[in-house]
Amino acid sequence: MRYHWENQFKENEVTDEKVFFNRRQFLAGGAGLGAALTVGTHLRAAPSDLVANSYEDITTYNNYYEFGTRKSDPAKHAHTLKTTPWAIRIEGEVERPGTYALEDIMAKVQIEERLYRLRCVEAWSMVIPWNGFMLKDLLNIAGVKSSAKYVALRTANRPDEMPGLRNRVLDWPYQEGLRMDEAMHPLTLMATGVYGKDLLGQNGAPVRLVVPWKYGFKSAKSIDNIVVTNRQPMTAWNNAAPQEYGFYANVNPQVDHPRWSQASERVIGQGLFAKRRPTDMFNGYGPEVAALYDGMDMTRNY
Amino acid sequence: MIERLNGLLRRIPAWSLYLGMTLWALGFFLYGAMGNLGPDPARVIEHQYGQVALYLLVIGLAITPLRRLVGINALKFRRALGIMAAILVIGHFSVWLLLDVQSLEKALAELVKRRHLIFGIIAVILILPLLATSNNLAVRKMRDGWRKLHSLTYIIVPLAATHYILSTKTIEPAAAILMGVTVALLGLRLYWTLKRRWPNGFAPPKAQKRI
Repeated sequence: MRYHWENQFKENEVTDEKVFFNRRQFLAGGAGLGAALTVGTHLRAAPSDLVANSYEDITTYNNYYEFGTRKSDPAKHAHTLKTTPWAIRIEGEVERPGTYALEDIMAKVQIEERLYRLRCVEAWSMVIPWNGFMLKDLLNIAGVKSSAKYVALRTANRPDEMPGLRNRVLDWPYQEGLRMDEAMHPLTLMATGVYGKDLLGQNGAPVRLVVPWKYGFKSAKSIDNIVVTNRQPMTAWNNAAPQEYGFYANVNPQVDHPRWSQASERVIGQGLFAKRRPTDMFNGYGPEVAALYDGMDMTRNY
Repeated sequence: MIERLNGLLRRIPAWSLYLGMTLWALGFFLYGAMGNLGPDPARVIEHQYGQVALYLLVIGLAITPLRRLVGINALKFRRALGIMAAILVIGHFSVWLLLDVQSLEKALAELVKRRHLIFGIIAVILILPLLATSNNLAVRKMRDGWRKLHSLTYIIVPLAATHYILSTKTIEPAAAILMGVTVALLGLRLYWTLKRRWPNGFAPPKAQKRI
């Protein structure tokens, strides 16, 4: 699982599945006016054995409880979410709080392609070629105050468009949070596309977090609100079942979930007889992120 | 209405349940093997076998109350329900072991460690002797012992329903409903048993007359 993360742009390696410039990314490129073409670039940040799941796998096997609790529910129901226009309200410990239209954000940031393995806390994984920009760049647009320690990211809360909200399985709206160094890490992505296409509702359209070294539930979808704070924010699953889901939720094969082992994972999309693969510490991104947690007890801060 | 239903049930042979359930179970597996059950077919088959087994067990528990309270007579299906439930339980366990966990050593470690798996494996172990004695020969040979052995059902079904509830991330409606029906059916059995033992002490006279 040795890999290297090269912070440089390469020719696209994975998007041979008909790369179409996603409309927003196209707009962003256009609005950049003369800026270098930002689409189709590829930032390699992954273990080298990654084979992307099919677009169908990625868009039909989803956990997005706002649209139902079964894996197949989001693909059926998420089309009701209205994703245009979209804006993200950024508030709290920032220099320039306000509501930022997604189009304006896209014009200012660099869209990259990142091939990441997504490791769900339910002990399965798939590999997804995301398009998106670094959360760092978005936070810099709003100007994070030097005193700020945490970022809370909230999913849209629209009962009319999200049938799952009727079911109070979680304390809606869905909220996740990161420590500032985690949020500013170059691996931490705000994804706007998959396989070069606009995100579909079930994947968290139009913009969602992706933190590849943490369990999937950290990567909140359809984000319309970001609060920069000094206190560790409440997070949805931690709030619902604190002994099962921690704030950090770093992928860790040595720390079991109370109801199952995290030592290995089912590989999604490989058929009925797919072999499990052993789970990598930090989902394989250890060389990049392990230093963030130096001296921390990972068993207690699960 | 009830009579027409009973007439219909009389015309359906019990073997059709064996045939139907077996074809369904095999077909579902093949369907998954051919890639038609989504990106995670092993889990789908595992869960479906377990869920259907529990449905069959709960229906089996409901047979006597249905006859006594509603007048629907489906007694002849009870053995088939039990046998097919037990076979699906074995299928559920096997898919979990072979296609999900994929290691006997890890499976054993998990089985003693996780609450929901402890409930589940006890139910699996208890249902095996019931499967082995679900035939006329065993009924004849075991006499009174057969009835006693098969009252293990009253333990197996709540164990299985608890296993289901404990294994989900949030309370699933299906799991909650199965648990509710199980508790209600077992409560009814308990009520009947107590009433038989102390005919004058417990039930209000009205209820006694009706039953």
